[in-house]
Amino acid sequence: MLPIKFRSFVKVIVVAVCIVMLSGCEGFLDYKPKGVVNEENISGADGIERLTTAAYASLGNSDWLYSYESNWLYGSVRSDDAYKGGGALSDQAEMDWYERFVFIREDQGYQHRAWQSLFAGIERANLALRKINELEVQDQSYPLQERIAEMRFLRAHFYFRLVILFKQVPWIDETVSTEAVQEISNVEFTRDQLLDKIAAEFQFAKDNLPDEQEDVGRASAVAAAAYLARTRLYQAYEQDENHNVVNINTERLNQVIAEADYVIDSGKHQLFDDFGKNFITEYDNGPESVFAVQHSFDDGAAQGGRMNYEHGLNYNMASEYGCCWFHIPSHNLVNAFKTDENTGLPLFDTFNDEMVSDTDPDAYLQQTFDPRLSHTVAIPGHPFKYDSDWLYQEGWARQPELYGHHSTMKEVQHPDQQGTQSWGPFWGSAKNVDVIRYDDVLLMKAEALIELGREDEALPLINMIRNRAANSTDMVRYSDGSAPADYNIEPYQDGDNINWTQENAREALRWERRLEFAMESWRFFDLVRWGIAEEVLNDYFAVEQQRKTYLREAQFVANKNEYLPIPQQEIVLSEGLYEQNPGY
Amino acid sequence: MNIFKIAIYLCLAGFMASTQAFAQNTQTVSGTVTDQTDGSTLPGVNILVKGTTSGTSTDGEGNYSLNVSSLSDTLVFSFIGYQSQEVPIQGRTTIDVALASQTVIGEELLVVGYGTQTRGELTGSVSSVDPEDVAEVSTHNPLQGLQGRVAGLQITRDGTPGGGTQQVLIRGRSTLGDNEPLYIIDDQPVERRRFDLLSPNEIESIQVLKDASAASIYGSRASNGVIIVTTKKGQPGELRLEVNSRTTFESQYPTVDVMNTEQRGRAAWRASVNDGANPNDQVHYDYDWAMQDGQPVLNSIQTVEWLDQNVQGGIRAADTDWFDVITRNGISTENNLSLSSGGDNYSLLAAVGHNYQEGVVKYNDFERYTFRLNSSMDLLDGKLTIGENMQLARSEQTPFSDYVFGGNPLSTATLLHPIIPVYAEDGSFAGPIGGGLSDRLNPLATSTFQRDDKNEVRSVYGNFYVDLSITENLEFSSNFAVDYDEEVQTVTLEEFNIGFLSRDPNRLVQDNRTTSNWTWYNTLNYSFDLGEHSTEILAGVEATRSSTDFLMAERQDFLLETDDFWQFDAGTGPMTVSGTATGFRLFSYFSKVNYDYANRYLATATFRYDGSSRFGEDKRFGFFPAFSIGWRITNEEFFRNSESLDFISDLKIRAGAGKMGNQRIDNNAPFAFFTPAYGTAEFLCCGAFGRPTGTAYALGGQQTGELPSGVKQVQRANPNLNWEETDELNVGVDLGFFDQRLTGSFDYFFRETRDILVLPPRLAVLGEGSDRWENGATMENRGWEVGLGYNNSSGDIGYGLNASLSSSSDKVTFVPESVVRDFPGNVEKTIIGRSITSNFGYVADGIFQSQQEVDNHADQPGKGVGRLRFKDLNGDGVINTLDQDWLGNESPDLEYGLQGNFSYKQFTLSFYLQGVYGIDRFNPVKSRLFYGAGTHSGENLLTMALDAWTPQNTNSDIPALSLDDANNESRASTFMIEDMSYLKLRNLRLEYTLPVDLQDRLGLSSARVHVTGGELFTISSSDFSTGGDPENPGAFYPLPRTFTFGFNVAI
Repeated sequence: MLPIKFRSFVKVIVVAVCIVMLSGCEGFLDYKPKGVVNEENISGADGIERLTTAAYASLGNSDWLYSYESNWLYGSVRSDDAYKGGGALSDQAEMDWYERFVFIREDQGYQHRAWQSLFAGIERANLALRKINELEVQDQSYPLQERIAEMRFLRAHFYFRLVILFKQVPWIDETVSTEAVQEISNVEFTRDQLLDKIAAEFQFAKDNLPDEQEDVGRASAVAAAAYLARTRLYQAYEQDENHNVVNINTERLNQVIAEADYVIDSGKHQLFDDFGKNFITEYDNGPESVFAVQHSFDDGAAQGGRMNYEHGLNYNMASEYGCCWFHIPSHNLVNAFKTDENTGLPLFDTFNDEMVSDTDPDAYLQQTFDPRLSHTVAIPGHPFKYDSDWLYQEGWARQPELYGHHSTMKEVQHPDQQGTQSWGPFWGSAKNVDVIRYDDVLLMKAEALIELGREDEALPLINMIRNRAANSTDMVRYSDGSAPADYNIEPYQDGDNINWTQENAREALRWERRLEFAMESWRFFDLVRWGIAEEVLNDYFAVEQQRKTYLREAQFVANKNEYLPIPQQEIVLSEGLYEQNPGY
Repeated sequence: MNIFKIAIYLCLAGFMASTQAFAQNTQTVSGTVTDQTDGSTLPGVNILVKGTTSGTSTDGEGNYSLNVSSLSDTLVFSFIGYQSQEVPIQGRTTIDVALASQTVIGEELLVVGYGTQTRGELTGSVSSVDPEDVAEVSTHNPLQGLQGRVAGLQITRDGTPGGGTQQVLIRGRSTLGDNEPLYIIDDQPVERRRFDLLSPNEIESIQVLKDASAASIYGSRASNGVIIVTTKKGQPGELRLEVNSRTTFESQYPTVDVMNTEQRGRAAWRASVNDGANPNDQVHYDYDWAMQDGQPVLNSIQTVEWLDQNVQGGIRAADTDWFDVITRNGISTENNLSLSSGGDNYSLLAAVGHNYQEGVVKYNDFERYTFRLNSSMDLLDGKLTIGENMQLARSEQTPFSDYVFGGNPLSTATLLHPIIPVYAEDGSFAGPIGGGLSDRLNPLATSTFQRDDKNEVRSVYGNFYVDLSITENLEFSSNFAVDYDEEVQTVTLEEFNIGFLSRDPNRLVQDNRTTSNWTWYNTLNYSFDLGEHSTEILAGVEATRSSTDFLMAERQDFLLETDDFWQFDAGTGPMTVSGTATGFRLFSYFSKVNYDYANRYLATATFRYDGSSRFGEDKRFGFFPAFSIGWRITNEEFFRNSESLDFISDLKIRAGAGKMGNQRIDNNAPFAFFTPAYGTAEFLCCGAFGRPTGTAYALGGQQTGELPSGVKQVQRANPNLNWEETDELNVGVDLGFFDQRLTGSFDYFFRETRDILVLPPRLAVLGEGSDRWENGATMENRGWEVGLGYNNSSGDIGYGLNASLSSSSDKVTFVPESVVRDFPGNVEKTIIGRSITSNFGYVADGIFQSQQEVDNHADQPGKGVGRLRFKDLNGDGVINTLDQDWLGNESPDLEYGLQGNFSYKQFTLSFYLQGVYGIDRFNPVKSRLFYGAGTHSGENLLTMALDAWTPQNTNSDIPALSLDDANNESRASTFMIEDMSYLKLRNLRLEYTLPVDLQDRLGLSSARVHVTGGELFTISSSDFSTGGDPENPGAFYPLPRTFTFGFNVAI
């Protein structure tokens, strides 16, 4: 019995083996990746919609180590506005190197990540554009031309960020093949030519987009005009190859005014009644926001949603937050908010002679201040983040022996604000990051007018900003209605409290920009644009190191530190095609 | 007897039946003793009943007859010139024995790829380890028991319960990627973690295949060597019940010495006065100090009373020894029970095991249950064997979660400021509050929260096989092996408010990974002898399929935080689910030819033709041949006939060369693809910070709810992606002297690995999806291994010493320009020509003692009196990245092990030493000498920092404390690199075997008790000054000292 059964069993096995040996293998090794799509699967309007959405998503793919949405590391910590903060000098040591300009190295990870992230965004836009160009039959119901314009807007946005950070970058658009991309040098175009290309993109966007988009997150013609104004403004200050400002181009300045007027005349935007509304999640996409990176929460994405984690390190040590107290307003910045108790104007020359206490709440009642101080700087004993009952405390500072007792406030959201939550020790919020606000548009126009010698026309624009600031004292008060500081701010009145010459107007404009956008990361780029970075920063270090000993070796090197080094890793990968910036 | 009866017998009557089998009768056993080689009968052979003095000897015809008290006794046959042999009677009355000549060396049977070979026939480099030795070590993990036992096998481990194997390397590193060996348990390729579920008691044999000629039969996956384990089978004889039990007490572990509150305050004062800052700016201390004779003098330190009076009923300043708070003495138990039986045509073994390990860090436990059933059955007069080896196992571990604040309890215990109390005044956990403290959670809170977390593994693995003798010379084998497991990681994230740290809402996260692998191979084995020519040919085909599925779910808001309530349906908040799948396939043809001429000249050739789904369609298959030859000189006539060479009992020279493959790359490596990435970043998930790459965006400005999502490119295709190949040359010699009392072997190898698979960085302008796997680098690796043993016995005394010694060094010989920046080095110095484990950094050249020294030194940002001076290596007057150099490497120059055993009568004492020499590693712990580095100004420091440089203490080699690290002293430099050589007494064991007559009276066939000490001492290099364990610098799980009591009883 048994043997026969087993013989047939053996036969089955031998046959099975032979079959496997002879055939089986070809199909067996055909394994395909799971949960992914091929390039061919992405086609038609649906495919385009996915690629363009992904390009928009690149706007918000930042976190506290990437900082390319707001640039707080590169624009604020590198300026006279802020210290790095955090647990120690070497807590995120590379950030400290940026602050003091001492150790900045070509192979630092931070600038490389910024470079990579911005080019990742550019490639997403380029990919969408390539796919659109491949479309043979166009679906009439799909707004193809608008999507092209939006992609070019996004691409220009990423390039603008690259140019202000690195100056010399390779220009890649959708027409360049993968092989050819690797043949394009970062010095193929000058800064001026790159800004011209960026301007052309915004021009195209402006010409092909509606003034108002149904989806507020999308680029509009108005946003493109505002960005075009900014591009032309930077372009107006022409730099030589060593970053010295050698000429101010009046044609560009006139373009700034024209584009700003397009925004103003569109009637789409206005200033909030209170400055503080710019810094609270619930007012996102309000009338003052011209273009913003959108953030959201509880949307099904991991880590609480597509939140703004870029400022995750910047929350203070209050028990409601707990981490990490980065991005600390400098004494110099706090002092800059002082006003003349008689004129209500900034103390242009004497503001930094004496340091306001960072521990005594009443010190702010002994002299007068611009109300924007209370929107920008957290001060012990003063209401924190528009909560009249929640007073900022000395103990919320993490390393007072290094960085004093202040904290930043604008980008931080109240813990009770919807969409504010921690992930691990780091905090995120649903707050959008404004790329362009209406107050910026007004001040860009004012700047252009002043440089064109039309400072009289600039005066009302600056005063619009100051008047709004003057009216922004309601949200920052104690619960009994009293103010934590003695506010005194007046508009500029020619011949009354100021002699409105071009020179004075220029100083007033620059001061106004500093206070309006304090801690919002435009400061460093403004200083470089105006060509005064070395003068201002080294003056700042000379005084500030008396207050903060760790700044004793800080030194801004002209003709070098205006821009970050081209990441060494990229120079190597380009096999020497990319050229390093001067000084590095 | 049929198998079903056996099963019933096992299940119902196990203990009873087995004890009944030992009725006491006087019985007669008889038989013939012959020479194993030529079959001639042997007169005068001594035969003793083991453990007694009763015995006899064979007559002129080699026959004997002996009265024994029990048919369960064991007979010992001994004869001069022959190897002694112990034969359990096992109920037989006729026992014929063939004795092996002692000069016939190398009959030890080794499991090599797809078959077995005797040691003597072997031409490759193979080590075998006695599983008994492995079981003796106090670890419960058999892989860790191999540490130091095999020359050329390097293992590092820590004390994590149920795991803790940090690294396994055979012959060092040969590739830039994964250097993990291939593990085979019962013909099933498995992952390393499978050893966490294997009891050392279940192991029958362990072989380590080191060189290409031994390993290349496994082709594609063998380039890092192979570790082959087979599990125990039932042995012929009556039903045998065996119990192994041991209990281990764990205590005392290496620690790094950190400051108490007062010392911490002094360090802060010193840092402040050094920097000219006001020490009384310190948040937690008030100093009474003054300048005397131009020097700061500290009179007294006052610590603040409260860190915060307002939260949690107040948090009072304390003096906490955090390491002490989170550690405990642990107990581990391991119990194994096996039943085995065997007859002429079957064998059966059933084993159950339980192991519980209590970690020395609080609430960190591991528990495993294993059940094994190995059986085989011979049919068709022994021509057909079918069988299976199968293990079911389940383990549960309280993990060190990735989801905690600031790291696992071990790392936070050494980081957290001692001024923080364990509990607040209201009895809840205290934590950092106010300024001056780092954002790390109370480690006891972390361990307590982790109590409900678990990593559960449920697995089934093993093989089914059929061996058929088709003719006398031709054998067919078919083997189907499976490895299936589910790994479920459950993490509960409790809501808390501890100091300024908080979490709200609470969350439940569950990660489910299911792996399902199978391997099926079929072989034909043909062997024939033509005179003195003996040939064996094996040909086979093998298919492997591996698939893994991931599913992760997460939900927020749970009303209760109890073990029972943590269920997804019980949560009320938002939930997210993510999941994916991956896998690969292999298909191979292989063949092996062994040739032996007169037992003197040996040759082996292996061929493997491997196909992998991980390569492009045209490049799937790789061919991996190997050849080796051996010459057994001692079997030559001239050698046998020479009396002067008599002292040499074995001499064999081996040489082999071969090629092995490597395909350990991403399963999706050759493909181009796009994927939606709705979620945002990978950033907080696994401790690593990746670049966020989400594709969803609130286009409509919506603040919450579902978002539009896009797709992004992930990877570009490389249809030319090809096998990574390793060529290896191995020469070796096996030696034996004095009838094999002294044995030794020596191997030298050289490897070159080409077309190493790399994922090179790409120009950023190509965008995020530009990654592409490529065949890039080339590496060399060479080294040698020596094994030496001396084993002897006379009368009641036996002793042995066995040593292993090995060395290997690797060298990167080529990397593409685009990849070279991924390795240590700078613009001028690259990794080419260096070990892949090289350290790179600055040369610390002492401490500046005077301003003049500072001024005379090169431009070094942050330099000053009391600060570290870095050498201006290129003499350009500036200290910058170009002043870095190669500072040793992390591969040891020498690894060694020494095992000794001494037995006297019933006692056996054994010890086991293991060490590495010449290993330089960057020690992250050392940065905690710098007050201002990292976040240490809010954290604790090494006590050594109190001896830092001051104007009064200029002999210190620790730079002056500073509030900042302006000189960047925590950079990679010779100051931060330490010599981590060590010598450890891993094991010391005393074992007592019950005398046989006592065993008999108790009805036992074997009974032993032992006491074992583990990790008894460590000698480390004097250069390893920071303390802790040189095997695991940093915050690894400490390897505790252990004391084990155990017994082994068999019926």
